[in-house]
Amino acid sequence: MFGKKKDEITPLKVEIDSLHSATVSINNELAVARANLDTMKATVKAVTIEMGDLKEANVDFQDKYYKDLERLKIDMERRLVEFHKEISDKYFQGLENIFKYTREIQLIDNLSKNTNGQDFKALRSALMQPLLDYRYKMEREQTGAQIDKFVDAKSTDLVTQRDKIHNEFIIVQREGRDTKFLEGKLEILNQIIKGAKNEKIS
Amino acid sequence: MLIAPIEINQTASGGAWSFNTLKISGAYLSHILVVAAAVTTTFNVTITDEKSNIIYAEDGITGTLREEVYIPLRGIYTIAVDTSSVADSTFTGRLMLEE
Repeated sequence: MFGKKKDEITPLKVEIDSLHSATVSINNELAVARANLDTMKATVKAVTIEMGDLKEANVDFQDKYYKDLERLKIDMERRLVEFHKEISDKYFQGLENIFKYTREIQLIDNLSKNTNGQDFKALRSALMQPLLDYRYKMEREQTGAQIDKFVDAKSTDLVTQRDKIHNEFIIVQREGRDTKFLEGKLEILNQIIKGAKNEKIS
Repeated sequence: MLIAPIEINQTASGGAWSFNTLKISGAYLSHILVVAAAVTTTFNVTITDEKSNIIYAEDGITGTLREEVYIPLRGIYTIAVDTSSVADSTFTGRLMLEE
């Protein structure tokens, strides 16, 4: 009877051992899973903290950015107003000067015509001088710009002409004739070409 | 005997250069040296007298012209070089005169 019971118990024992082994294995896996879970929790916590920091940094940056932008805007408006004022002042000052000079010149002009006085004429000339100087300066600048444009368009012709006059000059000088009438032309062309090439032209 | 040099230091414009000597009262041209800055430059040399006579001509020189001559000179002479070089070459050298 005991032998029979023993035969029945043996498979159960095997089954219990197997279950025990499985339980141990599951416990191990559970421990590993728990450890992973802890790690993940720690990571999530760190990420959450970092996100919080970033959010704060972002808020700070936005505050600073908007403040800087606002400051720049105010500064720019202030500069524009100052610039506008400066230009307006200069414009009106210039206008005032022109009116003033014109009025004075007309006054002196009339007086000088009426009296024929030399002092008035001299005063009139002195008053007109700044306006004339300005006009002459503008005319010189305009003429200079026109020459630059012309020389630029005629560069090849200038070099050809310079060579031609140089050869003529050489012949005339060699023959012992007067070269003065060619020297000026040659010098002008040499100056233009020398300036363009920035080197000595002989 | 006196030896006098005529120095050459010229930059070609449009492939040529020329200059006049001072008035020479009487001398012999004894040595001609014309050196192009680039050794590959090919050029022609002429010397012309007051009556436009070409008293010396040498064509197709490459790099350097170095020649001993004995040419009597009197008056103003033109030393001229023309070259086929595209770039404006520089030339140096000297003419030696015996007086």
